[in-house]
Amino acid sequence: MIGVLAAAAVILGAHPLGNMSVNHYDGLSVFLDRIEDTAIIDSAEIPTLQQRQGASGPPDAYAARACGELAGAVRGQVGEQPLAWRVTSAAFAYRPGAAGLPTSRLTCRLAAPLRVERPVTLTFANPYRGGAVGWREITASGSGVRLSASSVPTRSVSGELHAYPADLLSSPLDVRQARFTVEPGSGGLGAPARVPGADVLTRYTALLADRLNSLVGSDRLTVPLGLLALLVSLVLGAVHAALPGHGKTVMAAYLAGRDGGPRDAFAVAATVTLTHTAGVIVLGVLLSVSASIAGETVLGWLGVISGLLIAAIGTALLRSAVVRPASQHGAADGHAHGHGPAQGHGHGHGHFASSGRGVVGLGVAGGLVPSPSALVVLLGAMALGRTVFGIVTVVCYGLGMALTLLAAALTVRRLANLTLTNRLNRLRPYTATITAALVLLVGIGITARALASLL
Amino acid sequence: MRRVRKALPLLGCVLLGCALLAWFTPGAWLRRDEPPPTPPRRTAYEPAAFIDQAQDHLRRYPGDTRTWADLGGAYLEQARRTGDPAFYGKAEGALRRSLPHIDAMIGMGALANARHDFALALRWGTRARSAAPYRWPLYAVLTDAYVELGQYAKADQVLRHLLDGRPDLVSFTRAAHLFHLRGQTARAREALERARDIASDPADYAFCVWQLGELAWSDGDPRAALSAYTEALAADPSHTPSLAAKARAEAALGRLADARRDYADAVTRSPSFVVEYGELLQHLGDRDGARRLYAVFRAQVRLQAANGVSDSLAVGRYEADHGSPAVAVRELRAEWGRRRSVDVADALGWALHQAGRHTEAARYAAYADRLGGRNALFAYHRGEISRALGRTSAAHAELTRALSINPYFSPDGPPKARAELGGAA
Repeated sequence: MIGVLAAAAVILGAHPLGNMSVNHYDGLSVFLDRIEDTAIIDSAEIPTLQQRQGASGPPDAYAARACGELAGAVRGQVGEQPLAWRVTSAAFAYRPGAAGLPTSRLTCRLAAPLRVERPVTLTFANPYRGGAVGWREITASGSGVRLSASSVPTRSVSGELHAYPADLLSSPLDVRQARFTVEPGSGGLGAPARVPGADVLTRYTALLADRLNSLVGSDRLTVPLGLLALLVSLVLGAVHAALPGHGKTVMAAYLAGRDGGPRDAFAVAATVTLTHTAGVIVLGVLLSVSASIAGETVLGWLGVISGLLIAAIGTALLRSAVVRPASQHGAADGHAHGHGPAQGHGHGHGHFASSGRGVVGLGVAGGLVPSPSALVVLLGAMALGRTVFGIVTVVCYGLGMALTLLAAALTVRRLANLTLTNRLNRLRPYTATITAALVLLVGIGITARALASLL
Repeated sequence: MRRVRKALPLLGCVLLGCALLAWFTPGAWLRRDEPPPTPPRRTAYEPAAFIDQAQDHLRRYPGDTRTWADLGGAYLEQARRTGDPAFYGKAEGALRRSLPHIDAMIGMGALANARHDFALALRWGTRARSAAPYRWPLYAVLTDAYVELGQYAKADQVLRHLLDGRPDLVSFTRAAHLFHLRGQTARAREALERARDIASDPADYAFCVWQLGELAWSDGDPRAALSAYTEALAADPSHTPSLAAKARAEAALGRLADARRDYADAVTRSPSFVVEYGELLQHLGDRDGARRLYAVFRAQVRLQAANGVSDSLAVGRYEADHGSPAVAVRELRAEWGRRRSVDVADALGWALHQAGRHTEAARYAAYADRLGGRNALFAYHRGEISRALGRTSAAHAELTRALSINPYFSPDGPPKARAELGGAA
C-alpha cells in the first residue's frame, strides 16, 4: 500500500518469473533401497550472467561443482536419521533467453541409500540459493513402495520447469519442504497434482458466466450480442441445473416415479423457471436497494425454506401413499406395458400428488434458491441501467434450468418404462412409498445443510 | 417369503436415504456447489493469505469485478514485497479485467508508478479522481506521480487533500518524502515516526524504519542509520532495500567484510543495487568485481529495453560515471523532456559536466537545489561543476557543505572533495 515510494527497485521481466528468478524443482522418487532426487535449477538471464562470471572453465566442471554444493545444502531425513546424498550425474546447459542473453539449466541427480522395511516418515527441504525469487516445486513418487500422507503432488505442474502456468488466478509455487510416509507395497499416490484450482465443470461454467457478464456489460449492446448473451445464459442455466444440490435431482426422481403425463413435467419446468426468475429479481432488487441485507443470509434462509417445503411435500406424499395401501394396485400388475399418458393415473399416487399441488410445490422448491451467477448478471445489468435486459437474461437462465430438468425427467421415465416393466414390476406397488420417502429424506438433508451454513 | 419381498423395497428405501444423507449433510462428500457470494476483503496484513482466498473466490465467481480489483492491488503489493516481477503482469491482468471499476483505475495508476511511467500514472489518477473524488487511495497515486514528474506544488496540494481525508501511513510517508526533498529533516522524521507508530504489519513497519534510516544516513549519521536498517530487517527479513542500505552503512563504518556479504546477498535478490556495489568494489580496488557487476547492470538494461521499459534516470547516472557521458546526456535529456524532478536535474547536470559542458551543467545543478533539500551528492556535484567553471570560492563552499551534510555520501566522492579542499586551502 505504501509501496509506490519504494518502487524504485522494481523491474519488469520477460522470463515468466522475471529476469532474475532462480527456479527450483526437486523430483523425489523413492525405491525400496534408495531415494533419488532430480534437482533442476532454471536460472533466468541475470543469475545466469552472475554465475557465468563466477564460473570459469568448462560447463561440466561447473555442473559438478554446483551439484556438489546443492547436495551439501539439501536436507533429507528418514525418521530422525539424516540422509547422505551423493551426486550421480550433473549437467549444465545454456538456453537462449530474452534480449540475446542466455538462460541456464542445471540438472543434478542425487541419490541416498534408504531401507524401506516398515512405514517411515521422510522429510525433505532444499534451501539451496533460497534468497532469490523464483518458482519452487517439489514432487514425490514411489516405485515398489507406497507413499501416503504426502504434502506434495506426484506430478510436476510446470513440466519440470519447462512451462510455468501463467494464468491470473495462480501464484508462483513456493514449496520448499516435503513430508510423506513410505512403506513397502505398491500404488498409493501423493496429493494429486494441482495448481490450486476448481474442478473442470466449475471452471468451465465459471468461464461461461464470466463471458456472459462481459456480454451484458459491453459498451454497446447490439442485437447479435444480446442474442448471444441470452443463449449463454440458457446454457448456464442448463448446466446449473445439472449440478448437484437444490433438490432438483429429487424432481427428476419424482417425475420418473409417477406416471403423470408430460403435462406434469412441463408444469414443473414452468414453475421452476417462474420461481427462479422471481426469486432472483426480488433478491436482486432487495440487494441493490438496501446495503444492510447480506446476500449470504438471505440465500441461506431460502435454502431452509426450500428444504422444508420439499420435506413437507415428502411427508404429504408418504401419508397419502400409506393411507391408500398397496392392495389397491394388485390388479394393476396386468397392464405393465400400457401405461402411456392415456392410462392416466392408473397406479395412482394418492390424492395429494394427483392434485398437481405436489408437482408445483417441488417446482417452487427447486427454483426458490437463486443461483448466484444469475444474481451477479442481474446486478451487473442493473448497475448499467439495463434492468429489462437483465431480467430477460435471468428468465433465459431459468428456462435453461427447466430444460435440463425436463430432459432428465423424460429420460428417466423412458428408461423406467424399458427396464422396470419386466423385472421390477413387483416393486411397482411400492414406488409411491419409495418416492415419498426419498423426497422426505432429501428435504431434511437440504434443510440441515442450509441451516448448517447459517450457523 | 412374501414378507421378505415386502421388506425389500423398504430396505432399499432406507439404503437410498442413507446414501443421500451422506451426500447432502454438512461436511459430506458433496459440499455445497455454490457458497453464497461473499467475496473476501483485503486486509493490510498478509497479502499472500488474501491472494489465496481471492483466487479461490474468483474461480467460482469470475464476474466479481471488485474482487478482481482487490486481487490486482494485492498482486502489486506482493510484487513490492517479494521483488518478484511475475506479479506485475498478474496485477495488470487482474486490474484490466476489473476496469472500469474505480479501484482498478487506482490500481492501474499505482502500477504505472511502480513501472516508472509517471505520466501514465497521472492520467489514471486524474481519471479516477473525476470518477470518484472521495476514493482516498487515488490521491496517493497522484502525489507520487506529481513528485516524480517534478510538479511539487501540485504534489503538495494533492497531499494536503489526502492528509485531510486520511491521516494514515500512506499519507504520512509521502508527507515525509516531500519534507525531506525540501530539507525539512526534523519534520520528515516526525512524520515518519508517526507512520511507524501506526504501522500494523511487519512489512509496513520495516518500510517506515528503513525510511528513518535513510533520513539518518542522508544526515550523515551512519551509526543511527545502521541500527535502523538492522531493525527493519528484523521486522521483515525480505526487505532488500534495507539490506543494501545496511551494506552501504557498514562500508561507511569500515566494516568491509560485512558490507561485501550483505551487498552480495542483496544483489542476488534484486539487481537494483549492482551499480552501488560495483562502485564500492571499484573504490576498494577490485576492478574485476566491479566490471562484473556493471555487466549485470547493462544486461538488466537490455532486458528492460526488450520489454519496452526504460529507466533513463538509472541508465543516465550509470553512463555518466562508468560509461559514456554522451549517452548519459542523451538519455537524461529525453528524461528531462518527460519529467522535471530534482533528481533528473542533478543527474543531467552531472552528465553534462562529465561531457565537458560545464556552463549548461551549472544551470541544471542549480535547478536540482531549488527545493532547498539537504542532499550531499547534489552539493558535491554542484561544487565540482563550479570548480570546473573556475568559481573557486563557490566550489569551496559547496564541497564543504556536501561534507558537512553527509561525509559518506559515496565511496569515492568524499576523499576527492577533501583532497580538493585541502589543495585549495
